[in-house]
Amino acid sequence: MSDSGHGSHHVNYLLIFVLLCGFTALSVVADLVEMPSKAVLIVIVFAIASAKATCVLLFFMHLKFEGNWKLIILAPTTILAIGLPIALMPDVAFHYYINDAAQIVHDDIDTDGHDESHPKKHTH
Amino acid sequence: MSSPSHTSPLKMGIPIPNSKLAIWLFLGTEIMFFTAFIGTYIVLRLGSPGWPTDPHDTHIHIWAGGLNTFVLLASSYFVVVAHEAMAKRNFARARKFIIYTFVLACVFLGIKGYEYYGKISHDILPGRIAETEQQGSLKAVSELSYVVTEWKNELIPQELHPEVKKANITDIETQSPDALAVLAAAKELTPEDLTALGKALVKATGNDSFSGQPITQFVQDKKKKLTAEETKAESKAVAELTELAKSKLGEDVGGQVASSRLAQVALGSLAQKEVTIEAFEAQLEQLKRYSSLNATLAEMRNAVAAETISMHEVGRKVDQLNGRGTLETNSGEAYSGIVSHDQLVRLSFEETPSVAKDDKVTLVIHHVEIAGSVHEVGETITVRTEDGPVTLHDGSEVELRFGAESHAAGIIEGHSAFESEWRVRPDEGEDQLVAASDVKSIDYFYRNRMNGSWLFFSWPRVHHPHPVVFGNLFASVYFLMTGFHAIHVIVGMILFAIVLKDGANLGANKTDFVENSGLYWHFVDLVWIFLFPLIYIV
Repeated sequence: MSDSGHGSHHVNYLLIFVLLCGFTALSVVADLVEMPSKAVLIVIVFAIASAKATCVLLFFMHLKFEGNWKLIILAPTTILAIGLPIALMPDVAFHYYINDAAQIVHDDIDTDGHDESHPKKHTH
Repeated sequence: MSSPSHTSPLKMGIPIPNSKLAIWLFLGTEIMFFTAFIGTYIVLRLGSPGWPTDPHDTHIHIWAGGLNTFVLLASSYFVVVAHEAMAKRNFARARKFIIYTFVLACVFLGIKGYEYYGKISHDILPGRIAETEQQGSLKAVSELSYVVTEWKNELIPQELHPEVKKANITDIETQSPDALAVLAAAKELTPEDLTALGKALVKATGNDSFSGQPITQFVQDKKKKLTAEETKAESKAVAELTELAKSKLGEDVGGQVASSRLAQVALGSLAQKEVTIEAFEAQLEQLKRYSSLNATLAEMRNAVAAETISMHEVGRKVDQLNGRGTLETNSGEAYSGIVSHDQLVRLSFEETPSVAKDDKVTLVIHHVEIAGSVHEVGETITVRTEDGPVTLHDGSEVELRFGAESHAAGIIEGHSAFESEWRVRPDEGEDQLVAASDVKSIDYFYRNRMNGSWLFFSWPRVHHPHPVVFGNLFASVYFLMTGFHAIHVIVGMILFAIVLKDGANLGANKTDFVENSGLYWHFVDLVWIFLFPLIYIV
């Protein structure tokens, strides 16, 4: 038995598709244009990606027109999806210790985790 | 209490088909699945002190990612149209759009395949990327070693014959001219003379029969200890052989028969009619090339271990090995050395300095012609010369070394139309330049072995060293994310194939299936929407 809510709305899918293509072109342009900083690029590009995702979710996947039951399913997964990286951040992403990977040469002790690394002559 | 009720029975749950609920639950799990990988990537990248982003290192091209994004978006659109058509019971239209979706999925995989081929041919694979210069050198040496060992294993069964190996003839390169001279001379002999020589050979080498026995018996078994009498007899037989050989084959060539093992083998082979001179020559040529490559490898290996050679020199040696060969022109000349297809840079100057051979001269560049197209030096151009890239700006001063006066004059005067040229650099002496139209054939000694090929795909088996710091971490997460995504695309294609399998009989019973496949496909598209900026842009 198929969902009987179909006939009650009309979505111009072609318009949504064109919109999505426009967003994609925007992200490519954002990559090619010089940005004041990397962080700005990341924010812009993720905003565009989220906008695209929202279009697909709401219109192509019909979330806009169907019941809220889907959110009940998606809520725990989304919490996990965001929560897991956050949980790992302090241990993996942020360094409170000196990174001793073989590739790094320490001219200067830098604890913010973003010192320039350069290849070191390593004899194994 | 139990009167029959006329109201409809209690309805449990939400009014959707089970399959739809199931697919949404599944998509929930898929979200967690992909978050694991994408989250790992984010966290690892934030935590890593560095990350390769240069396209020369990563071979990531935004056009490929952008195109794939467009392809997936279009396929999502088509699947939604198909779903609408199914709801309106227009099954022919639905089928048409599912076919479009399927085709676009194939296009996606094709572009992905092209990207993966680029990665694989540059050996950008987890665990295989050198990260320091020493690792780069070691890797090149180990790859070359693999090629050499493989060649050796191929040569062994086809080696001249097992007795050569057993007799431990190590200086094949010095002995082979003797063998060839003997073969060439012996070819002119009558069958009777050849037989007589063969018999003398048997006697001198201590084998007691010459009647079509395998060639293995022609070489003396050194393990057998001879008595004084046997030694005397052997010396006499050898003297007789030498006498006979000199009379039949000439003083010089005949004299080699007794001393050169390989010459004896060659003579015996011919007497036995086991091997033609061409086959013998071809095998010897293979052995010589193998020995030469092996020697170069040993030299490189020792130098890398002792750290007396830089990684760039290792890279240069790899390029030279790839280029070593013989070039034959249409007029019948053959040049041997390192063959390269060079873009010759023609430079023109305001004054023509007089240049003698091997002079070093400083010139001011005003005009550069590269491959027929002219650049004014107001632009910044990077030009590849023998010593590496040179960047020229307006008023650049460049030091050029000229090999010969006429060569220098040619360059200085040159404005002539550029023709594609091949250069052969011999080990000693001057470079030979051959116009492309003059080239008849090129025989590379090692290139076919140092590179793998299948259909129209080729990949280097010995890579030019290219260390990428944090390259292995990058490759790991790259293939993790894109690989699992590609697998999900394939699964989606299977779902569409199940729909298309019905063919013209596609009916209302598949409406839910199409809707659910569509949902799955949208999810795959969603993942890619996030992968694209993460991999290609950031």
